Amino acid sequence: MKVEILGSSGCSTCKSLKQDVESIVEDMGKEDEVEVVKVTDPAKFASYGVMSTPGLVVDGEVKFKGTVPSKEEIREVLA
Amino acid sequence: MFKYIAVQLINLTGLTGRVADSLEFWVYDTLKITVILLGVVFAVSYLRTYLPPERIRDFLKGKKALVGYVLAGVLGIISPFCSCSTVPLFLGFVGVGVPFGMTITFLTVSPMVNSAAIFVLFGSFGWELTIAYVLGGLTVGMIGGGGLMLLGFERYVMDFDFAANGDDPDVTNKSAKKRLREAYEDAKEIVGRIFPYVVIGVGLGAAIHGFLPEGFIQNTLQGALAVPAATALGIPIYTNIMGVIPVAESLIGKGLPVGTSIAFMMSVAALSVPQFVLLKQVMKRNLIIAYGGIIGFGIMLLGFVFNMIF
Repeated sequence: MKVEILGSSGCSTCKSLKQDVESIVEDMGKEDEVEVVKVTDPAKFASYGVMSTPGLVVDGEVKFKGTVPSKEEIREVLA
Repeated sequence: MFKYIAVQLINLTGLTGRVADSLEFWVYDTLKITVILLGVVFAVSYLRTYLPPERIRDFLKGKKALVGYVLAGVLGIISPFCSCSTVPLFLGFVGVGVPFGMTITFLTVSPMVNSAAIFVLFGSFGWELTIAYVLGGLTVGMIGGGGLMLLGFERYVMDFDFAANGDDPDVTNKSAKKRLREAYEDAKEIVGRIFPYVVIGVGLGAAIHGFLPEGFIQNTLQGALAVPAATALGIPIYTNIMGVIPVAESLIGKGLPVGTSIAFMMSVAALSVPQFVLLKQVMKRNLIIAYGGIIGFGIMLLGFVFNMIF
């Protein structure tokens, strides 16, 4: 499973989303299956149709955009 | 009330004279600005849960001419507080066919006019200047956006693909609790990020307030070149607008003309190298220069006009 976090470099909610995702992946014991990457190129955001950050993309599918999902919501999309 | 707290605190320290004066200014303004910031950011963030950018975009897409430009400008005022969100917004707007001119209007007003700054300005300088600040910023943004559209600058946007992907955020079915949580998260993040700038900015303002000799400004910073100089000086300084308002406030108190001070304030907030580096990812050089030029000339124009009328 590939998880992409969309967020430009100055965006601190995007950083905290990445930390949330990483810690949840660890909690679930899925470090080996899930790859978490941060995407900072805005052209890439556009190709996903995301215009407000942070965005969360799982296997090429946009799950959240413009909001920081709660831990439960993240857990759901990673399950 | 803030005045009272500040005065009490300073009395406790037993200081008098200039130092006490400066400290009082510091405590008072930091309190005032932080409270206003918290209130406005929370309120605007809450409102924004009803108005995600996707909705703004769909709103603007079908609008013609004047209405669209005015709306684009107003939306620029309540737009996100972080310059890091500007570029994805720009691509999203252009990508789905919001008229290019309106996009530029939005992009121009967004850094020039800030919703929290409106309240702080109102508290410090009264309603005339506040209204002039808002209307001035809107006018520059609308003329700039319309102008670049007519000149065909759209061709200088980099090529990119914008895909519709995933459902647009559901704005109608959110519970009040979820909205409040989002607004709270937003406000916490934004105020936390801006707070250091406020403390430093107010500190500078306090130092100017207490220690800059009266008459210094009258003797040095006057004349026709003052406004362009203040604008140019603002470019290398990059801080949040909330940090520069107290500086402008003290400078006005020391006799710097209002227009010159406002030009400095807007320039610090709106003209910055990091912002333009970000835009370079999506705009070709001519467009960036034109965009920067509009903001720069707009700020100077407002500075001159404000100096004449206030």
